[in-house]
Amino acid sequence: MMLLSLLLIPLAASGLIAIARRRALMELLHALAAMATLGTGAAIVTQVWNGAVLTAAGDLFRVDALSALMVTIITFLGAVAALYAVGYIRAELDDAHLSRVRLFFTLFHLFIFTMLVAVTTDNLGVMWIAVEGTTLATVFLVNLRQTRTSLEAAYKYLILSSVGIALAFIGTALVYYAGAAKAGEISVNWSALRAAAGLLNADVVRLAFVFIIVGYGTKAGLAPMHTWLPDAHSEAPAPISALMSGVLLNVGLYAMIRFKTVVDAAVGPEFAARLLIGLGLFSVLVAAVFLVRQRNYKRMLAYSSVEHIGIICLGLGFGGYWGVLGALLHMVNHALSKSLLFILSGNILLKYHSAEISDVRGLLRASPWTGGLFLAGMFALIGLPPFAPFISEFIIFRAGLESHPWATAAGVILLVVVFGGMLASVNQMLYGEPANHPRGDALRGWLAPLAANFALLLMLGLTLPSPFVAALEQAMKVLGG
Amino acid sequence: MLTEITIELLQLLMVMLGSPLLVGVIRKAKARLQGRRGASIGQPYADLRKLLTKEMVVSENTSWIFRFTPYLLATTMLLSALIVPVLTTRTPLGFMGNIIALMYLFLLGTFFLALAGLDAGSAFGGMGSSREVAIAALAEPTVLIAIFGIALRAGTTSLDSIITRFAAEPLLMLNAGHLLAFFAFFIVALAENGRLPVDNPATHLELTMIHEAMILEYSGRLLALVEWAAGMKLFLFLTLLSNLFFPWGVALTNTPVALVTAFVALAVKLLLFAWAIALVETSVAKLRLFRVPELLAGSFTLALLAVVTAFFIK
Amino acid sequence: MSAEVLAKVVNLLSFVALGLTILLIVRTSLVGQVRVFALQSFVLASLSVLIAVYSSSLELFGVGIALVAIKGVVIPRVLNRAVAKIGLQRVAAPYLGTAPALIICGLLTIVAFYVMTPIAASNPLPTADAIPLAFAGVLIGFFIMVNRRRAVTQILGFLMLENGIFLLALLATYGVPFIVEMGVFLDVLVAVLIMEVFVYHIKDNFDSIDVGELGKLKE
Repeated sequence: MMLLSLLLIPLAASGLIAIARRRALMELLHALAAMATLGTGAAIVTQVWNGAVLTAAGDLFRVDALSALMVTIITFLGAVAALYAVGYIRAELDDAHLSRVRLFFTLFHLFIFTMLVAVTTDNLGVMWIAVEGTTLATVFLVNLRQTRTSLEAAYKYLILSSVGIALAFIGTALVYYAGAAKAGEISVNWSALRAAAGLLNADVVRLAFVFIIVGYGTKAGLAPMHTWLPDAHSEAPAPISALMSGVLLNVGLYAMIRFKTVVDAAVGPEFAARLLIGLGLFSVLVAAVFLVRQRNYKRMLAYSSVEHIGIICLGLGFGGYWGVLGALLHMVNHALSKSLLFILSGNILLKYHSAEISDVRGLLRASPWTGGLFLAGMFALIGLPPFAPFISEFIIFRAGLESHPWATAAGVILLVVVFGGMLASVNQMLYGEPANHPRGDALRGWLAPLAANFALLLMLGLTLPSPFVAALEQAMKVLGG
Repeated sequence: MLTEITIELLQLLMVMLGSPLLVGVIRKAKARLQGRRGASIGQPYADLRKLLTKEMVVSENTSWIFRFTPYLLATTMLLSALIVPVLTTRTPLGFMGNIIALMYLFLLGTFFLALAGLDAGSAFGGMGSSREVAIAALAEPTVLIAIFGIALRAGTTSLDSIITRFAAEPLLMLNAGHLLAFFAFFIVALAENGRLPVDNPATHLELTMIHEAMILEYSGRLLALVEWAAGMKLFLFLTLLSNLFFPWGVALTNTPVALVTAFVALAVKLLLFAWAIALVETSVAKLRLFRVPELLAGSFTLALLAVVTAFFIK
Repeated sequence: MSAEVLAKVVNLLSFVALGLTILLIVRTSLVGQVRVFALQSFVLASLSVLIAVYSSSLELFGVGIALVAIKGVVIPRVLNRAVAKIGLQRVAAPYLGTAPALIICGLLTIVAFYVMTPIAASNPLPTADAIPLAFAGVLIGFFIMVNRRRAVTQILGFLMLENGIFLLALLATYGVPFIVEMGVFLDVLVAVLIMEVFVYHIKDNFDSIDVGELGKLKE
């Protein structure tokens, strides 16, 4: 019951907002829905992490520890972004564009709904439909400003994502075929496939996983299928960029991981591991190369997302207890830090009216809160202690050191390159004399939810609380680790 | 042995005497489709007889190739007529009936005709030759690949064996590879014989001539030979199309009943093909020259698909 | 009907479907291209009904009807409306001409066979032989999306890609579960509607639907 309400709340909110007339009502519904989703999500997650596995609607929905982890990320960051969004949209779109405001809030919750369905369903076909749904829900959000560049970004996003996901469907169909051919009527449910994984035809499963990793990898931002990402994430409004980079990419990874568990059980872990390490390393490489030349800070953050997705894939590929733990931890850490930074970038954009790094000067002096948090977020993102990403990256590379020394070495070198590039850009932005912009942060009050992000990043960087680790271990058990 | 030689000669006579008739039928069908009465179907015979009595005018600038080519054309066509299973699959020269050899015989004629077109040194001839060779360069690979498609399925390149095997295959018409190879071959047949949409056999405009340009310098007896050879080429191509792809009615033994059936069947099939060609010629416009590669690329793809199916789909 | 006859007819129809995908490369008029897509959807629907009759599956029957309704009627109507609204367009030349594109189609088919034949070989169903053809349709649809420069043609390439995937699932496992199939159709319909809106936006903003103009965001 609670599971269904988790899904129905954002759906209902979306519908109600669509018919709302006044802005205040829309904002109220929006904020309430975000909070309600967060609350329900928290309740469900606590139940699951105490050992239960929730199901609903027969075998359609099934929340195990891995799904619970994703639900946490989605609902928490959804709430943070939602609260900030109220202020941001107020600043970006005045009452003359009320229809666009309504579009934004409606699609926001539709977006959350599709992501929640994707991570809570047991049916791999429904998961596919939901992931395609996330693309369809976010396309108009990317094009919210309706400029030429955002139109181009949204169109590219739509086409590339749809093609990628279509390939993922081939993979899904092949896995279904592998199941149906061997053991009679096996449904396309993950739990059934996982249980019968030993019976599946190895060649078919291998071919299917190639399609899956290319298809869902497009959605997750793996190179070389990532080309839509810098455009889409930089052109979207800040709270949406935060959600897309921080959460949606993780949902794409989640879909890949679900299939990976079946593949590992069917053909052994080396096959998927090789693919993941290869593509992961390639993503880090591509990200590093393009990132150091960026002159647009939003695109820089977007490329950084590609890099971190690559790191997570490296962790998954390295495998073993530490590799997977590091990967799951990094999913959380990256989500926290990237959403923090994108939301702050929204503030920077509102203040300086430009997304170019060269146009932003003296951020620390002009907007102390924004600048300070931005500096902290950047430190976190490039993996400096005492912030959490340092821990997860360390764990991942430590795990890879024994089994794949060359890949680990290459990854570390690339990380250092990125480190230097981003630090240089950030220095440019933070210090120096601000031009004649008025002092004070844009939207200062609305930054309050980010305190939670910051606190978590710090806390997880200083210590890994054991209930959290236990929860992660439960998720790892789902992965067969 | 004697019967088989007789049958062979019979086939030869059929090709020799039947090709002008086929050309006449096609022209008549075209005329009917265009709403005209058209000349009688025996008109090509009259044309040939007229040409044989006319005086020949040969340019001084030509070499031996010019006089040699019409005889070569006629000879290769007659030779091919001995090889192609027109009526029956059991011919004494059947062991030579290799489909690749057949294509090379045709190509030999085309090659020498192109040379002859160049030989007179006129502008039209050179233009026709270059166009013809360009088209042949595109069409020949397609022909061979279409042939491979058929040969792979039949397991042999001998014409007789192919026909025998196809005649025994059930549900032949439902076989995708078969139909693909047929369409590819049909398009190539149009290209090789200078039919629309590749070349207009009835035109003498500089922009649109290909085959006609090459033979522009010929007159009298030589022209008669060239025209007759072209007619025989068309006849043989259509016979191949009919018998390879619709092998019913071809005599598998040499009994008189089978032969008569084969004769009737062939006549019917050729009539249908003549109407088909007339239909195609009436309904499409001639393709601009640089678009011809597109058409041939399309037929090449069809042939490629036919080979692929033959390889992979058993 | 026997399994052999079914296999042959399925083979034939799959080839027709593949041929229609290739035809999209040849035709240059937008209206003609939409018509080719509608025709292909009808061919696939008839395939679905045929297999439904053979395997006595009511689900597949419903799927076939839904296919005709959505991809044979609704989507072509949506696209025709878009084409009419766009009006006459200067034909932007594709990146590769027709002749090389056709040859690439042949090569892609060979690749498709190479990849999918092991799957087809291990599949006990009588329709399995045509699986590589369906995958070839997917690859060629993908090629069309990359090669052609008009937004509407890209959308049609995507739709043919989806058709190819539907055919693949149909041939390999007699289709995926009904609810998934319907969800996929719904997704495709919504995607096309969204793409239609985008085509209008692109036309308004760039005054042409040549996606080569969408090149400002580099790096």
